[in-house]
Amino acid sequence: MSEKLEAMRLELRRGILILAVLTALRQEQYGYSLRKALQEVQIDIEEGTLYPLVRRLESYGLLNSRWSNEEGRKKRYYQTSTKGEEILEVLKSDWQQLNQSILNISEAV
Amino acid sequence: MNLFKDANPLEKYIREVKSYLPRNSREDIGEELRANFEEKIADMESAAGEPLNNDAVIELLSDYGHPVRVAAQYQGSGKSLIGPDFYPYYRIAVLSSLGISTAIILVLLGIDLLYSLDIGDVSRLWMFVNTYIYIIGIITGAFVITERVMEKSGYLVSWSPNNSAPPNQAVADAWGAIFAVCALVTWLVILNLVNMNHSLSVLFGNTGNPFHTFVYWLKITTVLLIPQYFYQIFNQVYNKSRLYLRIGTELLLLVGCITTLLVDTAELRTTYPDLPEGLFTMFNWIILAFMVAIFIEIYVFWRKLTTIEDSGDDSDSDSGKESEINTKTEKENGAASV
Repeated sequence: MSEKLEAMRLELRRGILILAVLTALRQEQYGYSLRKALQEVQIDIEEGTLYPLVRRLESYGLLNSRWSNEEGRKKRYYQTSTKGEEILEVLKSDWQQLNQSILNISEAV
Repeated sequence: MNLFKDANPLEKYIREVKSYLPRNSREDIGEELRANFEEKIADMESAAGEPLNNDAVIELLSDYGHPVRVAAQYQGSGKSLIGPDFYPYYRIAVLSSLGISTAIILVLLGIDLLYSLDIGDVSRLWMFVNTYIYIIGIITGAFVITERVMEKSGYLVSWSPNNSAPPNQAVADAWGAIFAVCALVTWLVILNLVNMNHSLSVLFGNTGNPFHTFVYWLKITTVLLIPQYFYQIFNQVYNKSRLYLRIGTELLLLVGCITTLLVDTAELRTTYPDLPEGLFTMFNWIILAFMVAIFIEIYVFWRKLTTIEDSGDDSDSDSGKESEINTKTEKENGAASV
């Protein structure tokens, strides 16, 4: 059961990943710092999932990116774009609606 | 072999991930991956208060995952050859066809061993391998084409109970048609194992080999039946032209049976004196049984045709009118036709 439970929790978390990433990247971050920022708020995403997702969102035009050279180390910074902000508002509204729906169901039974 | 033995493990890892990525994005992704790893390693070193040794880096990379898997994540899921809607049917089609073909080949090999017949020009092992390759290839191709055609025509999206057979029959009939297509494809592959010429002489029995003549006629009718059943997967309601086409195909096979029965086997018996008489007798009985099955099938389809004619309706199947009949007897008909 614990394996199935873990799979269900993973699936549930996967559903809010984009929302979490777009929200966190309202402040400019690079891959590793984004992961740490998410970890701090208890959203633990595997790097192998997070980094490709960030690139995918960038390819959709939801994120802007730039390379930076700091102390001889290259870093790629990402930030939510204007289009990303618009999408984020829609997703947030959907998320709140879903949350409310679950609460309503819980209260009804 | 240890991949990381004498080199910088991180560089080797990045290089391997890059080798699985598309050329236009590999440098960029590799650079970013390296930056993220370096950042993480620096973080770990600062926490440990000492530089990370190679073993620790290797462990870190092992946790991150196999380069193939990492590269795959960057490339997204893409479009699979057989989509999720069709995959369960594809799996059943392949497995059942392989099962049927294995059984038939084993029977053929049994006959070959008993009568020492030349049933194929390939070794026994290759007989299996060739058959499996053909079957998997043909069924995969058929499913890929079907899926793309359905996608383009919007068949699944625009589907309505009004333009299909009655709901209690539609699923069964579509399944029957899928099964028939798979069975016919398998059958065609099996028939192709027979080592023979494809000439008019063989077709009309002038070569004196009734086995080859019969196989040739079977091949022709099988090729004609496959598209008919394939169409039936998407449209399970018969109209007059489809019924005429089907009856015509059955009549063609009937002609093939009669031609086979009329073949003069004297020359074959002279060439192969060891062939037992029982084999010819058994073969003739099989042909006669086939002819009975064909007559029954023609009768069934003729009845369907008269039902349409009586109601005076020859509308296209898409109209979904009550006078059109569905193919509820299709499974047994399909079985008889092959």
